[in-house]
Formats: sequence, structure tokens, C-alpha cells
Amino acid sequence: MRGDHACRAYRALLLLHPRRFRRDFGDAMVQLHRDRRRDGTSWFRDVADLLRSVPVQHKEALRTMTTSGKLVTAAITTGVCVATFAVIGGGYAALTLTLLLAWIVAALLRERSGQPAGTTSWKTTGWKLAALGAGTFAVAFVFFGGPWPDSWREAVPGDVAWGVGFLAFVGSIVLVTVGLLTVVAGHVAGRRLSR
Amino acid sequence: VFHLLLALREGEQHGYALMHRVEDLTDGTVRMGPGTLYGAIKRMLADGLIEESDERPDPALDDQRRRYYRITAAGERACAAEVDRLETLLRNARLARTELGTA
Repeated sequence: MRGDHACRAYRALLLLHPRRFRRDFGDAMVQLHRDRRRDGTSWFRDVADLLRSVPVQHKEALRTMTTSGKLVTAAITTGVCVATFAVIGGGYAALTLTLLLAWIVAALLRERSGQPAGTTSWKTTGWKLAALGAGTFAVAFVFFGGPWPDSWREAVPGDVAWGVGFLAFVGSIVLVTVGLLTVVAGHVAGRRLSR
Repeated sequence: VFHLLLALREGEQHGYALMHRVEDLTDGTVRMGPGTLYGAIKRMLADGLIEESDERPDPALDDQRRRYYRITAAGERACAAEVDRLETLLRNARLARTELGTA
């Protein structure tokens, strides 16, 4: 690949990185790539390096994401699951949803363990759990009650839809309840400590 | 990260110069591409080990799009601590080798 085309292709591949990383370092990376090309470095070598850094940066972006960001990601992923349901069937989507749920729980636990012990962190965690529950409920509501075509509904096996629906609705109610109880517990403990 | 800190102890540098300096410091064994380099720079900026410099050389001599970085006091401390750690490791390794040799 030659000259400007190579740099344009490299810049296009930067789209694979998280937006913030791209905004902060995208221009500098293209500039460095251009300098290296002048030195005779192969285009493929820099692209291989770029592709290696993509999962690393996405992993870091997920780690530092706020809870609301995680909920947005969960909503987007659920949207992808809906499309997956329509195209390849329910099994893969159910698996994706399970993995997503495991990831959200793990992220919340990690976030919790990184906070100092105290009633404030309990209240914060409670609100986060409640928000996660409400978000899950909203997503499930759209997922099962949305105006999707009949052909899409028929593509989902009944037992899979029932299982996912049960998990989503019961899970969201449990999350909201546990979250609100945690907030109340944190509030009560905080009042006792302040006396 | 350690190699980058070592390179930056010599003064402010931009990505391209840093990459070459790291290659020199490691006799060419560590070769960083743009993704690896700026991934490490991002982490070092977040950890406060380095900072971006506002000062620019003469525009006639350098591309204004380049970003310059310099080491911070925390970066100096981290670098010194790593040098100490490696010195201790090397001393102990040499000692162990001598003892093995005389056993």
C-alpha cells in the first residue's frame, strides 16, 4: 500500500478503538505512523500493532466506565441480542445475555471492592443496583413488548423466550428490591454513626 | 513503561523520538508501534507519571502536530524505585550465581 492511501486506511482502522482514546491519541498515532512509514516501516507491522491494542483499550474503557455507561452498553448489547435472535436463533442470544449479566455483576462487584468502606459506598452501591434493575426492566419491556414484526417473534423458540423473560423480569425486581434495601440500610447506619 | 520513563529522564520528547530512544536503550529488542506506545502513554498520563508539555520547539524545526511529554516528580520516583529494585535483583542473582559456582 502506498502513501496517502496507506495513511487513510490506517486512520480508518483507528475507528476500532474506543472513541475517547481515538480523540486523545488518534492524530498523534497517525502522525507517528506517517513518520515510521518514511523510515521504511511496513504498513502491516503498524496495523498489526494497532489491532493488538484494540482489545486492550476496549478492556480499559470498560473498566473505567461509569455505571450509567455500563447500562447504556447493556442496552446496546441487548439490541444486538434482538438482532441475533432474528438472524441466527435464540441460543446464541441467550448465551450473550447470560455473559452480559455476568459481566455487569462482576463490574459492579469490582467497583464496590475499590471503594472505601462506609455508609456512603453502601448507599451508592444500592442506587446503582436499583438503577441496574430499573434499566433491565426497561430493556426487557422493550424487548418483549416492542412493536417487532411477527416473523421475528416466531423466530424465537418459546422456551428460550420464556426463560430469558423470566430471568430478566424476576432479576430486575430482585435487583431493585435489594438495591433499595441497601440504600435504606446505608442511610440508617449513617444516621446512627452521626449521633 | 520503565523504558519510556528512562527515555523521558533525558528531557521532553515526542512519540517518534521516544520510540527510537526506547529502541536504543534496549538494543533494539523493544520495538513499539503507535498503538502500544500511545496505550502506554495514556496509562502513564492517568497515573501522573508523565505530563504533556505545552512548550514547543521552533515551528520551523518541528511539526506542530507532534505532542511532547515530560516526566513528573512521581515518574522520577517510580523510575528510581524500579532502578533500585532491578539493582537488588541483579545483586542477588550475581550472589546466587557465585554461591552456586563455589558449591
